[in-house]
Amino acid sequence: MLKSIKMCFALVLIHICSPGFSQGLPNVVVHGFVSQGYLKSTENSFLANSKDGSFEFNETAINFMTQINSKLRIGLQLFSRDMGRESNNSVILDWAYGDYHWQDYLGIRFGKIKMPLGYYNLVRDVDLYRNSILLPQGVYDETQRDFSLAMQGGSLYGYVPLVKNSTIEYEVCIGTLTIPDAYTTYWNWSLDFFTKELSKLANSSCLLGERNVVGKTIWGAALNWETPVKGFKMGASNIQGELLLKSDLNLIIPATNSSRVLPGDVSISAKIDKYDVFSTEYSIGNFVFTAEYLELIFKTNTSVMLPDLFPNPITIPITFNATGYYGQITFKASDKWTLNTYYSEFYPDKNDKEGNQLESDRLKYTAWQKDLCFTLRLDPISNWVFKLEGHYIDGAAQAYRFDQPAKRYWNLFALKTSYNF
Amino acid sequence: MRKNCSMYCLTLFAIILALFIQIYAQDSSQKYRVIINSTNPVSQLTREQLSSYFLKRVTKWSNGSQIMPVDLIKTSDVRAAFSEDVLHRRVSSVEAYWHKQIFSGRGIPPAQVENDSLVILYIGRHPDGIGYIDANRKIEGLNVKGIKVVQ
Repeated sequence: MLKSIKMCFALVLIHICSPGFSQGLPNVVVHGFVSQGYLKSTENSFLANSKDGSFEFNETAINFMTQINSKLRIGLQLFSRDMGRESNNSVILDWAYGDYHWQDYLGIRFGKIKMPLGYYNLVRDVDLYRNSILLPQGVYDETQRDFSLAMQGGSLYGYVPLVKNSTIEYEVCIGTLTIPDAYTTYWNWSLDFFTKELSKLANSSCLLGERNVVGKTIWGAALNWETPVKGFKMGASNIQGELLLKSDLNLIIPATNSSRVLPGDVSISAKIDKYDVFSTEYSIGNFVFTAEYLELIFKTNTSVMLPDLFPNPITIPITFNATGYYGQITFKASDKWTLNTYYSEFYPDKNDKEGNQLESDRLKYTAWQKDLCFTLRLDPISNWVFKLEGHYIDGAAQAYRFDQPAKRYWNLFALKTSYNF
Repeated sequence: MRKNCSMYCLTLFAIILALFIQIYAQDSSQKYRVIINSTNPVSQLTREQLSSYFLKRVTKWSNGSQIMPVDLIKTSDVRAAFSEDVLHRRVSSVEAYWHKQIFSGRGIPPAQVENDSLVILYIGRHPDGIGYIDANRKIEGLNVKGIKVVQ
């Protein structure tokens, strides 16, 4: 991956620096942004070590785009982020594709493309685009961002005017899901859960080795309708696909003289059966009202191969049926000041919103996370943004993946500044 | 009693919200004039057509040639009026729209120039260009023409 990034970067630089660049060849447009944030929470750590206050919360990107001719545009974006223990500012190729705009109603993109899901997924790492610091976690769950981030493949897209000033924008895509990191909170949490159970069962300890996560075929579609009612739009998007995580596993059985090590491996195959987001937005005057609804069905099969202990692989199927939603009001008080508030709810199990069916050692309030958020945004000068945000949260459905045992009521504060060019 | 109180608070909140919306939902007066190259046969466009051209959702004139929109800079009053009247968004919302396009690789925003003279110069040099300038600006003899904006 790093090799291909370097190669793309070198090609762009060669193009920029070539003698022909300033002699009428298509111009390369360069854009970028840099963001730095701070997180501080009471009771539960979330996303980073926020209980102690954390600056491990930043994003940087630079992109290059050029219009080869009236129909073909190519571009790429390099991206780096740090979010607590995740990513640690490693540089990835965020997207890189060709866009052949044959007609306004039909174009094709090919390469590594971002997946359209809801209003924010395409630019979920771009702080400037939104008014809040953290996206509503009811729909944009940070712990599962990799499942919908980008894919290698292609998409068809278009824009179709309809009657009475309404329009439809669509995109359908297919490809291979790209997973940049096998050591994210989600996988850590999934494997921890499993190894604890196995350790209890075999009365021994589990050691996990090198991990690898690969995406399989994924496909999706998004539809956005600007209705005949001025300022009112609606959207629906869907993703389906599969991915597979594999890890070495060593089961260490304590013995009188020396421990016995049983080698094996563990794999989690995950099938995204349904990843639907329904969206609506109404803009009037200086107000924007937004609401989105998520439904996610995620079927996992965890298989353990420990031939010295179990002759046949053990398979544990689990189905996650999560749901979440939010309502948001944005008020643009002036060119410089914006106020934003949202209320978001997330349930990892749609059929157990009260936590009544959780295992006996799980706290009931890990069955939900309800978040009331207020943000103040200041744009003091062009291209520079400051934000201040406070959350009042009930429940720990997402927080307990970071901090156990998690508390029920907690607050989260965030500060962030971003600059773009 | 408690139910009545809640209903009262809810009604009061709705009234205050409606008042805010009324106060802040301002109309943009016709402070701008849309111009194109004098060789372009188009004589009028709807607001919806203009909106789709400036947001680059529609990229071709009816004769198949590439539409080349040009914007004034963010701080321009004329741009603010054009944005609210045609795009039905504030300039900051339009900027946010372009942030989304740029950082997801979906598109490149229109060229931006500092003042009316540069818009006229741009349109004069690009037969497929389209822009907007101050409604009071004289354009006679400058290789550009004004067009009518209709609903």
